[in-house]
Amino acid sequence: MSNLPSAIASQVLDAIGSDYVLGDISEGSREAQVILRAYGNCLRQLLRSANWAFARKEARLELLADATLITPTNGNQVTNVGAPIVGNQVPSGYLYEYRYPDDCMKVRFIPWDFQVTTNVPPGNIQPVNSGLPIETGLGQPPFVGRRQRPAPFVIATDPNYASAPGQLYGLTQGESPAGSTVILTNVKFARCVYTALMLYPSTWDSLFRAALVAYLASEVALPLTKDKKFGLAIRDQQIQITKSKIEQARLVDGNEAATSSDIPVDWMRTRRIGGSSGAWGGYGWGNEGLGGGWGGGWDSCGFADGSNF
Amino acid sequence: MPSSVSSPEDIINIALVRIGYKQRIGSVWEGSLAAKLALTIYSQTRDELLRSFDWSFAERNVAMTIIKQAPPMGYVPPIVWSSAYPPIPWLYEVSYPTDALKIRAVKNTPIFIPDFDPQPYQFSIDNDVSLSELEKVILCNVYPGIIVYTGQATNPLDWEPDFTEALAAALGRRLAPALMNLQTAQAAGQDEMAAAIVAEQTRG
Repeated sequence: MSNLPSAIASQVLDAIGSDYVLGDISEGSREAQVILRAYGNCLRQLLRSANWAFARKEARLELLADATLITPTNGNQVTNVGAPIVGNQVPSGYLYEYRYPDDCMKVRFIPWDFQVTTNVPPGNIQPVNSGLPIETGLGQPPFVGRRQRPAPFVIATDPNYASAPGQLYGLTQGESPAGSTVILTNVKFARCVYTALMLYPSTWDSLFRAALVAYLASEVALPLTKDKKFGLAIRDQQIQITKSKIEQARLVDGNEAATSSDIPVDWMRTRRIGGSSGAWGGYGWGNEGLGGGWGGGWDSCGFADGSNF
Repeated sequence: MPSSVSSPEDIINIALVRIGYKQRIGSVWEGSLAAKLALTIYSQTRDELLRSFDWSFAERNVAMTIIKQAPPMGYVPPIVWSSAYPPIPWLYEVSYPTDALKIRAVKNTPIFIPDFDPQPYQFSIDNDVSLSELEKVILCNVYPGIIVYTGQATNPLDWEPDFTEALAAALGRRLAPALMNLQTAQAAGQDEMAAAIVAEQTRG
């Protein structure tokens, strides 16, 4: 079976010129230990470095807090027996707070629409009286087949949703005793388009697999080669290969799908400084700022020689 | 592939040939000078070589046996740390396998296999003086789990030829100063290094 993490690790050993025949990535040999320590982080960082098509996922977000008080809340005047309970404390400037998805590597964007759908998952917004519309004049059906419009959002942490003491918080992304990673936005019933954690090599495209092998090889070349000069040379070569693969991936993303507007333009940057609820734009084009960004873009990928791409 | 070397005497005789010693031994218990010297160093040399590389044939896996566990909610007063718990900051203290020469890794027991999100787990070796007998233990943060270790593989029939070769060279290097002369000892040292390089590349 070639679509296993161990097969990737074996390719990494080939790339750095090792003679060792790896059995399993968890076998405990020196080679396995070094690669295993790098594997998870390299996989995640590489996923963030481009808008890989195979990793695009859209999912409804779990509501944690609603500042509009429409959703039955904990400690609020609205109480419905049997209704889901959410908080009502949302950091200023936003109406809704959602849990950062467990498998989210990078938020690409949050579609801005008012589509009221059925089959809302438990814990999400529920109308107080399901027989009455919460808002009127939404259109029937409002946004099917129309172009998706990104909404401002911000990634933040909220101490109101900290893990319980003693919980193995280190195992779940975004959870800690100090708080949880959350997404703030003004979109009701928000969905999120993001780069998901893709653990199965069978779902990767060949470009990603080659990039991951080269990226891992660049990380482990130095510790796994006895001749450090040789290791440095291999590392530099593998970094160049990785950069080339990532560049190709970003180009393919631009050619095959909607482009990512990651190039900051001054006159767009200064427009609508301060942001506004439900408006286009915001303080910046990135994913940080006073009013939030409306697209996650991709991250630079850092390498062992200190360079970024 | 079955090994053509089946006993400690076979290994020792290979070592004696490598250093140019004229005689052979019939048994490690026969009392000859070569046999007595070889008997003194044989086990230690074998165990040291087993520890030196991650030989595939010596890999053993065993389920963890827990000895101590940190309180589930942490050391929240009135609970304070004592020797009833693992050393801080570890969550679990588990038994060190009796036949282990080196712990290679600890890993969790995945629910589904193959495991597509393998994680490294830290561990440390400790000597627990609070137990009834001073005992070597493993400290880790995963339980239940599996200990991967290098076992004390004593049967030459289980060994790979390159391990046998490396062991013979290592024995030769140790025997040469006593049985031969200094020049032979130096040559035996080079022989051991060459055998070790080959052994490291293959590791069974």
